Amino acid sequence: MSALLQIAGLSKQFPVGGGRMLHAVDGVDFELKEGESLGIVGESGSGKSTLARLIARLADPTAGAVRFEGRDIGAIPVRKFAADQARRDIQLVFQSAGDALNPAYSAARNIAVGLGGSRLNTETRALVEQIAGEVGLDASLLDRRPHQLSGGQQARVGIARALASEPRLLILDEPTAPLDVSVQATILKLIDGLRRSRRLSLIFVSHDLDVVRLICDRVMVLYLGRVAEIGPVDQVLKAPRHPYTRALIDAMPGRGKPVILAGEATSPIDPNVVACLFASRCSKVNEGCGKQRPPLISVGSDHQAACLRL
Amino acid sequence: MTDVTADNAAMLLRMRDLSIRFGDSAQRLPTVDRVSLDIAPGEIVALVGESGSGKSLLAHTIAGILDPAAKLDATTLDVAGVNVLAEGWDGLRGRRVGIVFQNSRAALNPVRKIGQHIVDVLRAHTDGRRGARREAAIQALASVRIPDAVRRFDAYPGELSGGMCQRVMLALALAGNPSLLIADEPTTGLDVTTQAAILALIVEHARARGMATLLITHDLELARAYAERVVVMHAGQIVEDASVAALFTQSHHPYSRLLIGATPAAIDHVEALTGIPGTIPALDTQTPACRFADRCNRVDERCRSTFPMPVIDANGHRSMCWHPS
Amino acid sequence: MLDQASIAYRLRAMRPGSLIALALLALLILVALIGSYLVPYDPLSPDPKHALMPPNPAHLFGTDQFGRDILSRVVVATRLDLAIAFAAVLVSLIAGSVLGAFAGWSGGWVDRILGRLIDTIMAFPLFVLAVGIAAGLGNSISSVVIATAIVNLPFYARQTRSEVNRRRTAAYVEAAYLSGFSPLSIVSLHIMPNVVPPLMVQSSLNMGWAILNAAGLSFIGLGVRPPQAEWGIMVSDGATNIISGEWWMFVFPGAVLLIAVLIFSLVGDALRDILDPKRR
Repeated sequence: MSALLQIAGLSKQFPVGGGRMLHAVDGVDFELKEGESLGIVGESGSGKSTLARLIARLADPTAGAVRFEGRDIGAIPVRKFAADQARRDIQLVFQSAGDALNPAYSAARNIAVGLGGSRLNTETRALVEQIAGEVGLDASLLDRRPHQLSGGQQARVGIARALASEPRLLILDEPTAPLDVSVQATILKLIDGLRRSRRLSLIFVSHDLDVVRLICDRVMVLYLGRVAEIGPVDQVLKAPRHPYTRALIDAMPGRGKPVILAGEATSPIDPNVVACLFASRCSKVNEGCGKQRPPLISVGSDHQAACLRL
Repeated sequence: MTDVTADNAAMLLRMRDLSIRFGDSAQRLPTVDRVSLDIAPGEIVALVGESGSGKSLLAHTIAGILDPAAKLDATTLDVAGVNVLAEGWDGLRGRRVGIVFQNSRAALNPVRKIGQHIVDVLRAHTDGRRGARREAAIQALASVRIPDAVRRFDAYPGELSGGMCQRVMLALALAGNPSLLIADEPTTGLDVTTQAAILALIVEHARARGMATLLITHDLELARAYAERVVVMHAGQIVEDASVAALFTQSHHPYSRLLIGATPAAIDHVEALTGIPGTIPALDTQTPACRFADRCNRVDERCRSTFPMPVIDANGHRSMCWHPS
Repeated sequence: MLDQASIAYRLRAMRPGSLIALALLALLILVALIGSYLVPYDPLSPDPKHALMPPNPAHLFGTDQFGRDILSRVVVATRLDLAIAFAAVLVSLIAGSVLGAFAGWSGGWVDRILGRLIDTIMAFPLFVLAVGIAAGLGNSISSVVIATAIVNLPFYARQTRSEVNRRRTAAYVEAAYLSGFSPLSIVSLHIMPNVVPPLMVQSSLNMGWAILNAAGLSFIGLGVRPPQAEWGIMVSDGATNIISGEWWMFVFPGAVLLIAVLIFSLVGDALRDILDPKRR
């Protein structure tokens, strides 16, 4: 397996007034192999959605590279990338499916958007029905408008639209967040099935480590826009090396006594570039943590963590 | 219907055959249907179900904040020793029953300091001088682990994170020293670390004060981790009511089984996940069938022709199914 | 934008009031189209023998100072008044939505400059501005249309700007990006279908105002010139005769003008019901 996607030093900063910058994504590096699925977890404000949008090329990075099959597509401005050959290879499934569907269009025309058209002729209609079948959407629902569909059906339309572009890399940004567990279960099974049948490479953004465990081969933990830990999902969940990963796992319900993170999160606005950003909440902190940014170092096969106190 | 528990004199909440209807159509089935539920003092009970199951409606009824358009009907509804069907909720709200909502920032007045919110509640419940109330408010904020409570007294809700707002909401609910706390999806939308902290805090206060807690959640894992007893609702009915251990090891009702099977934390591999077919029924036609019949994998003729009655076994494990497992 | 089945469904589900409004609109349009073939008298040729007759069986609305039948003139005027208003609304709808969509999509300095331009137009009392424009362009029907269109343009431009701007970052617009649509096709194919329905409602409400505006310009002597049959001129003529007791010259054209404005306002409300994508 060769690397389909290489992310190097990827950063995104947003101006917040007064010349100050919010570092949403801050020097992220990782690789994704063809057919692999990577989970990205982190709390709100960790930059996981921004990272997903950078990779999906909906936002231009401030620095760093997004190499897709060796070509740095991160350097192509978003507006020009629309006409790029790789555009349709990378698709995103949006967070709240209901808002991500055009309310003026029927389900069928929403799916047809992914085909690159929005008019429905006999040929596209047949294609749309075929994809709808693939995502378990009854053909009788195709003429409904988004607001006439249930949350699970909306999610299926969103996935169908992304699949219609025949992507090779599918990025899912919390695709099941607003859904009931019973519906979430069917959507997760669908995603896993599609991944196999279409040989998709997946990036799965979630706040739920259990969901990531079921869907992904590897997991990346983000904290304030930086990679805290990345590695095979079983290894990271069983033997986390970064104190933040540990805290996330312990906070999952039923995992014994949760470690209550003391202190408050460091502000992502112009953070100290020579300190560990997690130091303010870390149980293992010592004076060295305030003097150096921890680099991502190898802690096992294919397993890396960024902590000075390993 | 028979009493669901033997010892009902000491119950903090006693509810018998409570139904809630919306609209006048005789064809329409009640949105909440003949629900009976007891909660003992100090008990932590989780109420779980999908959205639309009626769990929030039930919680709002107990707290006395039911939508006025709803028609309430029950044989018994005693909350903290008060027969609210006869006497109403006045005097109960905020004092004997505290409530925490999902979106607490929306429940706080954005132009009022958070300390003032607490002082307002204290003024309603206690007498005392202004300075003393301020002290008590700061103490209340500190008791929900709001760091730097003295300084935070003067903060506005918009300056606090979602988790901090939820702590303020909890402090407000606790200020009246309630004997029953209703927590309606208190951590939905919060980060997992914040969720753990808030729920640990609720359990800690429940234990320390001997306060009964009704935790409404869609997440069975939370119920398993934080409650002692789990009540499962489907389509406005309680289909199962059992201790946490009994529910997760030997649930009787197929809906509970399916819910557990749909929870990622309980599953080793994605293929083992079970979805629940269909959706909650629309309740718009009179039918003698079990409300779960159309989604059930054990359905037979009897389920479609006769409504199942609740059955309680020797351990107090209640379920409502013709084919319990 | 809307498929036929769903329009039929919405029509069936409509409130009776909306149905009546649409029926009245149909009647008004019918009168505009074929009214001139049905009227009993020539609206333009004078008949001094029958001047200033009050309403009677031969002349239901009476006659004016030249003996012309007021009913015939009111009916014939419908076509001209509606045509002026419709043309003006169409021009301002198209120009306003294109400008507004451009500003709303581009943002930044383009948006600011167009915004100022529109604020400048809005700074004038609209009728005074229309009078100025019509006076500058000279007395003609086309100058009434242009003046009415210009003073209406800000409403469409502003509404389109805010609707497009709000949807520019909607997830379904980004999804269109992901499928390789160009900005122009995103605006026209993915955003505008959501913006057009509220614009149609605005247009209908605006039609009434445009009729009034056109009639108002004619009333003060700009725009349509006598002896053309036009509601504003007729009201103006009638107003000069009201003191001498010939009330019918003023009342009937005025009432018809009022009814027409009312119909468009009702139709606007009906359209709001029909086009709202969230209503079933």
